[in-house]
Amino acid sequence: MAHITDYLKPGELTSIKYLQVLAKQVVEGFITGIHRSPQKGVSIEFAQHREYVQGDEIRRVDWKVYAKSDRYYVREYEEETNLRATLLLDSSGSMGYGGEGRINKHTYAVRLAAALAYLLLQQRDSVGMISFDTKLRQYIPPRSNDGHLRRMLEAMVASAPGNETSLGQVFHSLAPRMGRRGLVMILSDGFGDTPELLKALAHFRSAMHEVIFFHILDPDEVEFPFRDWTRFQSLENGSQFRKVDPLSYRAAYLENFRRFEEELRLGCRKNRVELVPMRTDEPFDKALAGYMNRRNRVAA
Amino acid sequence: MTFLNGILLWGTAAVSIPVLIHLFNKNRYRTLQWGAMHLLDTTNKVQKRRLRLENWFLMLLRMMIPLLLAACLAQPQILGTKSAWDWVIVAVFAGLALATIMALARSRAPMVAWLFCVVIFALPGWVIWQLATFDGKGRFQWGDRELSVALVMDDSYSLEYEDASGKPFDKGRKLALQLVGELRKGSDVQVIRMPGGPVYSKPRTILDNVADDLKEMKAGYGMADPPEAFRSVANLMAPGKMAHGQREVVVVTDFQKVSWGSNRIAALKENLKDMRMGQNPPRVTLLRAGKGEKDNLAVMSLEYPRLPLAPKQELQVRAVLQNFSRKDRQDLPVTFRVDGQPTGPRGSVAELGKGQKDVAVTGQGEPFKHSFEKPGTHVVEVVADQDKLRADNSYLASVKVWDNVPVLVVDGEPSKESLAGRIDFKGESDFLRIALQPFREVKYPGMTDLFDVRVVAAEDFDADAAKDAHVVVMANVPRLTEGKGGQLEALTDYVKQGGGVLWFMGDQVDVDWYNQHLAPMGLIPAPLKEVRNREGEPTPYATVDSSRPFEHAALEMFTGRSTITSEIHQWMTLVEQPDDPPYSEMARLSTGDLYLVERKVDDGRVLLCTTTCDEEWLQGILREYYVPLMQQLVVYLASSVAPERNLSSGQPVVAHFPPEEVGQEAVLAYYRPEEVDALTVKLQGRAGEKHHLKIAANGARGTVRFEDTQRPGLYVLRRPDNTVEHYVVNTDRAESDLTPLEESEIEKLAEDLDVQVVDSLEDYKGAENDRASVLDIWKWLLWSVLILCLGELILQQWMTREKA
Repeated sequence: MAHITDYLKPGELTSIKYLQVLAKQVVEGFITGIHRSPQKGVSIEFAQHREYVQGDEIRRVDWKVYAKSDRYYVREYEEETNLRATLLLDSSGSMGYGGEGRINKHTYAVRLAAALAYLLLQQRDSVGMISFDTKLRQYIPPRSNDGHLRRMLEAMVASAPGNETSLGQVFHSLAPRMGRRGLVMILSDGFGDTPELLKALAHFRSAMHEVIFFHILDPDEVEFPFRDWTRFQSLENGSQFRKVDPLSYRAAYLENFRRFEEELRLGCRKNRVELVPMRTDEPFDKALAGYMNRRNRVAA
Repeated sequence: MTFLNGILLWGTAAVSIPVLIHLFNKNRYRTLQWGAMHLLDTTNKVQKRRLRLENWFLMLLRMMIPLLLAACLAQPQILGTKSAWDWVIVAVFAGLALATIMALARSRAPMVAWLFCVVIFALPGWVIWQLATFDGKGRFQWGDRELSVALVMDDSYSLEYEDASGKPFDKGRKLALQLVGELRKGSDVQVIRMPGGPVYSKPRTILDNVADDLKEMKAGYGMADPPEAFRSVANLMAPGKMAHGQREVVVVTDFQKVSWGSNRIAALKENLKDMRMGQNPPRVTLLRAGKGEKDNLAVMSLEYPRLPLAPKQELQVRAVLQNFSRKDRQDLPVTFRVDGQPTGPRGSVAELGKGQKDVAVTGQGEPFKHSFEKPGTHVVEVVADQDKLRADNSYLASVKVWDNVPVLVVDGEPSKESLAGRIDFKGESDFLRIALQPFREVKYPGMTDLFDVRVVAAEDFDADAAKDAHVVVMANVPRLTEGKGGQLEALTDYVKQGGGVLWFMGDQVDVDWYNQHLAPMGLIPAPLKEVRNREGEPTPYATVDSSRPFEHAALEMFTGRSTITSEIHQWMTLVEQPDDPPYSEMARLSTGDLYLVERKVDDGRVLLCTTTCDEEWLQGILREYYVPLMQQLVVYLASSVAPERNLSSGQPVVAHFPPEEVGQEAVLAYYRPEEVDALTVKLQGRAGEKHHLKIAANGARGTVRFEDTQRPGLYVLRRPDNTVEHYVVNTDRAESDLTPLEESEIEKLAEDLDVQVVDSLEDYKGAENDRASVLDIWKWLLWSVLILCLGELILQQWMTREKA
């Protein structure tokens, strides 16, 4: 049975634990606690007390408890927010690439997804997960109840990279199914038809979703450090290959890469999609933590 | 275009190395499962073209590097005349350049790429341009480029002729020094002595050193041999020997008729042909050192009997003089000197016509005479007038005066009297003993014999008896005892250690035993066959065949003089080996059978006479030939350990030493003929040119060998025991004829040989401008290779760069 610790080391768990995801935009539905909502005043149900930690808002401190125990506690409520987050996990073949001595991009994406899911569920936000390649593979709708994390983790474990990618097409088909607007977090290398992908992102945006694109790449794909003659065999399509002398090809590759990255970056900015470049040689928890802090600042 | 070292052109095969590496790597790829396939596709056409162009260009650079390097090492030269290959190279390069320009234009290459190509191809392009346009005319300016010069210096003794204007050799040396001094730095020079051959093992580029060596150079050598010098130059012109394409052969000479006369033309032409065999023949210039007629008188030779000489025996010497002057000469004084000191009455030649030869005599009309007091070698010399060419004013000879030479005669049929030291003519060796020590036997007062003969019976011969003997004579010995310590072993050791054995046959000789024990070891020159005679024939005896001259050194004196006139009734025939015989025949009988045979065994020598040494098998033993013949044979054997002392120019000095002196040093000093005096013959006073020679082991004795004897004069050897020996080198006196070629003859020589003759360096340099020249391009190619290497590095860095 999959457990969160299969994907997250204890150290990673603690560093993520106290970070909070803040939606940049107002989400649909009622809100309590820290999330700003146009639908204030909807009743809430107290859930538990939690010890105050640095970063908690002062107004959430339960002064009565403080008076009794001389300790700071904050109150936590059920349904504090109804932030609906959906993790879009790219399980196409190209995600199966991992340079020497490194985990592949898919594993990295799964770990990152696990961390995000855990974090969001800790905040009692509802999290869903979709894994896809050319078409939708698995869909777990957003929930925040107990055991949901386990379900998601099991689904993640079950997903393995394979097949070709068609991000744009999949996203187009997903957008209507996502329902209420929420947070969409894409974990992908973005390889495929970039204009189509950008169109699909625009589609999400038009449905008022907040989109974060975790652009996961292997350092080899960024730097192209190969020297000897290499037969590059496609991970997505077994019959496709190219035999090149990497030394003489490097400049052209890097040029192509630069163009691809530029296109993606500009497209994301245009659609107000948060693009977070991530490399599999970076500890993903730190990268994530850095991102979350930044996100907090934006929200504040 | 031609190549000085064409064989290295095979190195251009290395052009395939980059291609092979490319193919090898291409087939040694690894497979990588890869995601970002779309980034590998070059969708941009221009980019694709540029990438392909860059790759092709890199490959081109990599192929050009080994190609140009191999071409550079092969030392290419561009000639004025073009071959089809030259045009092929030009066309290929032009095609490459055009293709590059087109490719650059099509790929819309940036300015920097154009600039890069210009820098890379500028030098090779310049070389190709030269290849296409160089006509070889009017380009050569003296000193504007490096040359390879073969400088032939005539150092024969005729250039030592000293008149008011100095010696021709000094004039020639001055010209040579001027020439070397004005050469451009980097030129290489080989100096070839004529005679003497190349001075350096390979041409020198440090011109100051060459100039120093020229300053140190001395003339006075033997006869100039231009064909031989041209052969040395031809060897030098072989590929890879000299560094530069522009080659000059300069011969500094006095144009002596004997050296350059019409009889030499054919040989000169032949060697010149070899010299000019390549595509880029050298230019040959004859530079005249000294002009004008010169008078000379030369002592041509010394004549004296070659008989062994004992102390107090009289030596008679005749000197032959020749007048090489343009006029007749009268009353020419001649001095006879022994060991550097004038001896006896002065001699003269009363009248010597132009070109004539005559013998110098003393006032009494007799030859020069001298008896030596002490044994050893002595220098005798005849000196004529002191004219301007001193080298041939005297003629030297080294004369060996023998001390008592111990000879052991082993008598196979002795009489009691002869063993007791008396003569009753019954012993086998009685006649021989008289022949070897005549004065002692006939008790002639005041005269000493050369040999000290001891006779033993065959059974008394052993190692002890042979120990001190220089020569052992085996006269009619039946056989020797075998086994350890036996006579056979004693004789074998004796011969191997350098001893000489003279065998005489006779009725006692056991043919089978000789063939079984002596012949296989070479102790007799050839196996014995049988005893023959001519009984019943019209002439019942054989004679020694003297119809042909005797070529053997021991029999030289019997040629053209008294012949060996005995009548031989019986003789031993030998088993002859006509093909490659191990022996050398010295004389035959009138029947065709061998009479005297010689064989060398290790350091020793054996001689065999096929008849007896007494009258048993022959008649006429009391005739005049017998004494000199026996003495000559024994002296020849005794002196086989003492090499020749009267040498011709270039013949090495060889001296032998006892084994205990091996590793020690002997000193050899050289003196020019005019330096020989009472002190120099003793290696005192004037130092001379000293050479310290180490005595090397050679079999059972020590030997020194000195090869550099081109210069005539006296070579004095001091042995480790401080005794001195004299060696004399005389050259061919043809060089004494100083008559130069006439102007018309020089012109004809220049025409025949297709060379130019000049009198000064200015004429030489002035004449150069009209002649075709070649262009050395190896330096340019080397620079091209360096630039290409740099270009390859830059291009590779550029192609693998990380674009921002």
